[in-house]
Amino acid sequence: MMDLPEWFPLQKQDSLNVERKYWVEEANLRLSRLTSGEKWTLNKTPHLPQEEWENRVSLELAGHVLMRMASSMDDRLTGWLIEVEGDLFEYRFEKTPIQKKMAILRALFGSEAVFTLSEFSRTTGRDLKREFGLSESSSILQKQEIVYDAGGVEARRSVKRSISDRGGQRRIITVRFDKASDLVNNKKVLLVEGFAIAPLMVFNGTIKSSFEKQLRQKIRETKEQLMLLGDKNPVNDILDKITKKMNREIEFAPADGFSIELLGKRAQQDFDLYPPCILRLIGDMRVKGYLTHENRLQLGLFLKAMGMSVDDQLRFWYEYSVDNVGTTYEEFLEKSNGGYQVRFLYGLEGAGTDYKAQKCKTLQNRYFCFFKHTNINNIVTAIENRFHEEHEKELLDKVITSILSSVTRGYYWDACSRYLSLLSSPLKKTNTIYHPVQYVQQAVKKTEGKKASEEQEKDKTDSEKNKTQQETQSEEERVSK
Amino acid sequence: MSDKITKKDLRDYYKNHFDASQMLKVIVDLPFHKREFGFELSEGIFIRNRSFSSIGDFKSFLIAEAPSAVYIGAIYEGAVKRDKTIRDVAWEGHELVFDFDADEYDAVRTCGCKGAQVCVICWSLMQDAALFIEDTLRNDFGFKDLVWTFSGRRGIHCWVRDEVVIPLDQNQRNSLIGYLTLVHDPKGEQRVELPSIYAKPLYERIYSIIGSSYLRHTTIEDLKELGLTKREAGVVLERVSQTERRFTPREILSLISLEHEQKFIEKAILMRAARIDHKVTIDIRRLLRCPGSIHGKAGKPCIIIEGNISDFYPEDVPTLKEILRK
Repeated sequence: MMDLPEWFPLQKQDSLNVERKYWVEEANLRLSRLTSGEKWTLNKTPHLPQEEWENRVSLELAGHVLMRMASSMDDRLTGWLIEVEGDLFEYRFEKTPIQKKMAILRALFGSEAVFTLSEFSRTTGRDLKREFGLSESSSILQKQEIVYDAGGVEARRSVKRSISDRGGQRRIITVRFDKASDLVNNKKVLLVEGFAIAPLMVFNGTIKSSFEKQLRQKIRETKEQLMLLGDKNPVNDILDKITKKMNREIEFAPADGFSIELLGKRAQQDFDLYPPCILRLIGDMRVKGYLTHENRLQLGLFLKAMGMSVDDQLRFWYEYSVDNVGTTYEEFLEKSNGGYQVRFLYGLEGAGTDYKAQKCKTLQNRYFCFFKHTNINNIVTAIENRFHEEHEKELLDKVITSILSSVTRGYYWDACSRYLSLLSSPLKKTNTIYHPVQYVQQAVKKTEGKKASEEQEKDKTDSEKNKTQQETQSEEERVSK
Repeated sequence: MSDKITKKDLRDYYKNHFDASQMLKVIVDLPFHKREFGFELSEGIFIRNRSFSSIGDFKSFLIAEAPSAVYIGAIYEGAVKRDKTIRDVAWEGHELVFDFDADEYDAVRTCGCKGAQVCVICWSLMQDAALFIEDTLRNDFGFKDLVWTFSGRRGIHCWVRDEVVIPLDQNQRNSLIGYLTLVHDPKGEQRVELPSIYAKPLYERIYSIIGSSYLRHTTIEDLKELGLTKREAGVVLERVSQTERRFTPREILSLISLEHEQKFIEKAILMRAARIDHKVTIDIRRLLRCPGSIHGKAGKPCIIIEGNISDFYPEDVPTLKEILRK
């Protein structure tokens, strides 16, 4: 039997061990905690009576299950719930002891797909310590330190530093390759006999994604069951109440099918509002004169989503690509077979499919994500070059550090939202970025807010200046009299 | 006698020479009716969404229709038909397949071959790629059931049949491509990507297979282009040609500076690393040429490569006409 922590919401439950009259209250309580961004976990303190502890666990799980049911009929509520429950899971997972962490991993990936290093060595008969210098825990770091000998000559020595490893985040674990696709794809892990081997913390992003994926599946199954029951469902009234409350409390980020009206004409003309992936593609095109097929597709669909017409986009490709220098527009059209590729994106060629801009997850996996596919040094340089005039160095360094921390943990959408925050107030929390067009919408809002407050500030300064001028003038008049 | 392949030739071949056991070596053992097949019946007439209750029925179809191309598809929950297509029946799995063709190397082929042309020199690129892929799949991924096929024209396929690969989705298949890809956009930008230090076995393999092969094929001019002096380049090549003691690529490259070593490895990857057709691996409903069938355009059969892939050359495969004459 797996030793799962009590709070783990995906474990099998036969029924809600809570009286029906408390259901709405429990769901509402969880809703308000989640909407406020609160992170909490369940801990059994030594003096807590067992009955009370069990009661708390039941209430906790009931709140989760009811929200799952209430959100299942609405895609936007489902999306929101998966995101906030994913964040809560991440917080709790980090605080969980290593044995329970392993139990969660086995529940998420399957017990045949997760092993500790010693279990793996036993199963495969390989001495990974000898082959790759691996030991169960990487909490002892071998470091090179520069020292000086008696004569003041520089020498290097190897020192061992013991570092704290609460929660076993540095414990080396092995996860089957198909459960850690992103890490395998980026060649970021040691791969031996089909298992990705790395400290547990390297898998954090993968673990969270897997939790979210399975939660989505559970919600889908719930939806199917509720649809089968239809009007005969005895708890419809309760679920209705919770759904209504959710719709009132949650402030939604824009859904898919972003409205161009919301963006306004500004988005088409102001590249400063574009996400870093798109800026990089435009930059590459201007410097190199061409983009790969995938990159062209990504940029083309993004520009289409920005509301560019086919003709405007053809003009864009003509003007921005250095390859076309000395070529007339007509020659360019001829060379590009009448702009076939651009027309294809708009469904005017080929099978007539009206393609949509890809979301961040797709870009990360198959196209270009600035944070996933750019070298760390280049990320730092790009941010410094763009924002060094707008923000104090200390503040900028702080944001860059947090961006790099997200990048190294594989939270590219988080890195992107932190990057976005640099457009106005760098320390203010922004919504997670999951679509490049959503980035632009947020950027429009942020910069307009910033512009408005700058104008307000300017008005205030001007009126104070006027007031001082008037005062000086009347003082002068008084003196002259 | 004309070399043009006729319907009669194909019918004769499928009746008297077709060996279904070749096909059975690449597909996993499941009820036969669950497998989709596709066919090119004649120039431009292509059909898919076909399934057969037995190998006997399949063979009868081949004899009756004499198709110019035969393709194997994925495994579905039940039989697919014209009126119950692969979109209507639940997908269950597909073998994992890697495909690479000589024309993917056009940008770096130095022998003068282009497109479907292949010579011994450029075929060695395919052999390097096969060695690299096989070693990576067996050791890093732990796969055991690998079969290599020659497509009949200019490419080779590697079929992986291990149980764990059959249900892999597109994203998971794509991750294998990501792991094996060292040259991005092979026909355009040709960006070389070195693995991270964590992917140690992959890194070592770059030296032992790709680096080693490039050392054998490189010239003094190539090395000078990387910034080595004539003397340094001479010393490197002297070590490569030594027969009394075989030096490892790492030992040979230790003779030059780290910067030059890095440049050398990047160049070796650019020139000789595997250039896999991503779409074939990622597409979970892909139709792939069936071993034992005839490649209508090339006039040769698609066959299983038995034995060492380094000893296989396409010109050793008899044409359909030669098979029929025998």
